[in-house]
Amino acid sequence: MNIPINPFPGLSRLLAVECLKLKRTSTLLMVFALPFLVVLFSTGLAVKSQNLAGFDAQAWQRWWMGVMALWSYFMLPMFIALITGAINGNEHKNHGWRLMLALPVNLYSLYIAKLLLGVLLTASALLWLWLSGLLATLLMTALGAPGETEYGMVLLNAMPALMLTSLPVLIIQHAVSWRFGNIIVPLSVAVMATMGIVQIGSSEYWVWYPWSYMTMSAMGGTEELRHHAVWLSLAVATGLFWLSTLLAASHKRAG
Amino acid sequence: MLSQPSENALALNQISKTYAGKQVLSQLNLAVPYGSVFAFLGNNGEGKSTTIRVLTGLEAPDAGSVTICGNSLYTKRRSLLSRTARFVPDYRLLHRLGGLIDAPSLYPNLTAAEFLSIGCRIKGLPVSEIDRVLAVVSLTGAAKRHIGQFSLGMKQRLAIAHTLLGDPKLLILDEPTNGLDPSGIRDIRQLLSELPASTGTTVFFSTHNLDEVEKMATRFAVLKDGRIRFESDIPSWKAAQQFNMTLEVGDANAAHTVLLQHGFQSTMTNPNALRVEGLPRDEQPRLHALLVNEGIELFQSYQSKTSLEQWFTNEHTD
Repeated sequence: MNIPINPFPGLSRLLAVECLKLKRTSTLLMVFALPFLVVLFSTGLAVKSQNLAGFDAQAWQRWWMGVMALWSYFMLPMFIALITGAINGNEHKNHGWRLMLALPVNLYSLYIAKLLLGVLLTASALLWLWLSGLLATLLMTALGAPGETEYGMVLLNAMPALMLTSLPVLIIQHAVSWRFGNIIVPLSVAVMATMGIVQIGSSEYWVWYPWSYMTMSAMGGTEELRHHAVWLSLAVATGLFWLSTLLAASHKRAG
Repeated sequence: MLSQPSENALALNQISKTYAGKQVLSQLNLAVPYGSVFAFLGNNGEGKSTTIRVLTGLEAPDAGSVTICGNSLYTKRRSLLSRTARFVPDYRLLHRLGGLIDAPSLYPNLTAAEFLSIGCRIKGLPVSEIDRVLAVVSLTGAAKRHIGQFSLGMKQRLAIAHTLLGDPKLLILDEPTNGLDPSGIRDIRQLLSELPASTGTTVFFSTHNLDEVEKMATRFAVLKDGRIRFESDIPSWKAAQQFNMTLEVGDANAAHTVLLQHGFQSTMTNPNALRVEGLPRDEQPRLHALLVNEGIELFQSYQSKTSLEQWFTNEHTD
């Protein structure tokens, strides 16, 4: 057989392979279950604390902001840790590194493909979070709450910023999961970092703490602050991306 | 453009590798001819797995060169984070070899066909390759079964099927029958020994199972202290083997005298039997003829040869 010599399989091919590896795993379930749980929890609290018939504009705003706060403060950092842990854990657990690296695969491409998959899953979870929220508003409206559209759209517009500001954390968690086979390590990083969001995120030092960028873009008090968080995230993510890619390659394949 | 050489599918030249101050491979030289089934022997800790990792691009050597199908696997390059130049594998060459290192690397959530599609996509091969390699390892019927339901032997065959994607010129396998039951061992042994003839693939495998080497390899090398201590093809080794003979005769004393006169060292075990040790294969007919011609009654003659296992044990006993 005459084999075409292609030094590096394209990123899209590697990405397709990485997607395939997640088939029939709980990773895809997490993409849908965790955002849904956040909405379910917030809705439960709202319904329990207030009569749906008296749901005014302020109550709707509180409800949407509650969903976003729970997601960006707590669930998103944990979600990122879980999915990056699952994407890389698949290789650690099944000796997949040996399989992949004995194939004509460029290590940098493999690292980037896995990171891209993390970005795709995070974006999907954000979209599903918004859709779940929309479904919940429809349900609450059907149950007697006055109709609401305004805040849903405001928060849909905030999703791209939330996605961009999650990039530094995605890169950090991906690098940690790539390096350590034990899922406890990336999860510990996520738990400790999440605990710091409340203290550091509300202080002037938030710019030094990538985990606070997400909450700042979603919940920041002013437009300027929210933009600042996005631009800062992009700059930090770019630096982290280059550094972590180089370090990841030097770790996995000696030489 | 990669060149197509004539002599060896794989050649190691002066390969050295050190781990944490310990020299694991020391100026290792080895040549694996095209079409051979080459067994790589050695005790644990002698450097077999390190050699396999070097050959598959997983570990770069400190010095020396690895040539696969006439092309150098490693080139020296300086990375952005390093002050000194280090060996970096040429990924293009990995198209030409299939590597299986230690336990098979499989994803239990995938079916056999889905698993093989990983290699197909990465190597840019048509989907028909999946059916071809599944047929080679006799797993066609299991294409749609989940790997999690496979027996150890099936997993090993599937892992070998993955290495066969794209018809590689060279297969590098680290202990391919490790942990398999007898029927699994027989299947893999048959599969690998037939590969050079059926697909033109050269097979290089490490093993502890010396019986396996005698039954399926065409050539073998013994690694000790990070160097090749002995290398031979199996037919030459067998021809050079010495045999022990037990002879049942009418008069062992007379037979002993006759043999001694003609330079054969024998030991009487009873009045009607004697034993001759270290006899080359081509001397046996002469010995029989000698006894008969001298009028010694020869009732029976048994021979036993030194197995590779006995030989290896003797060689590795200090």
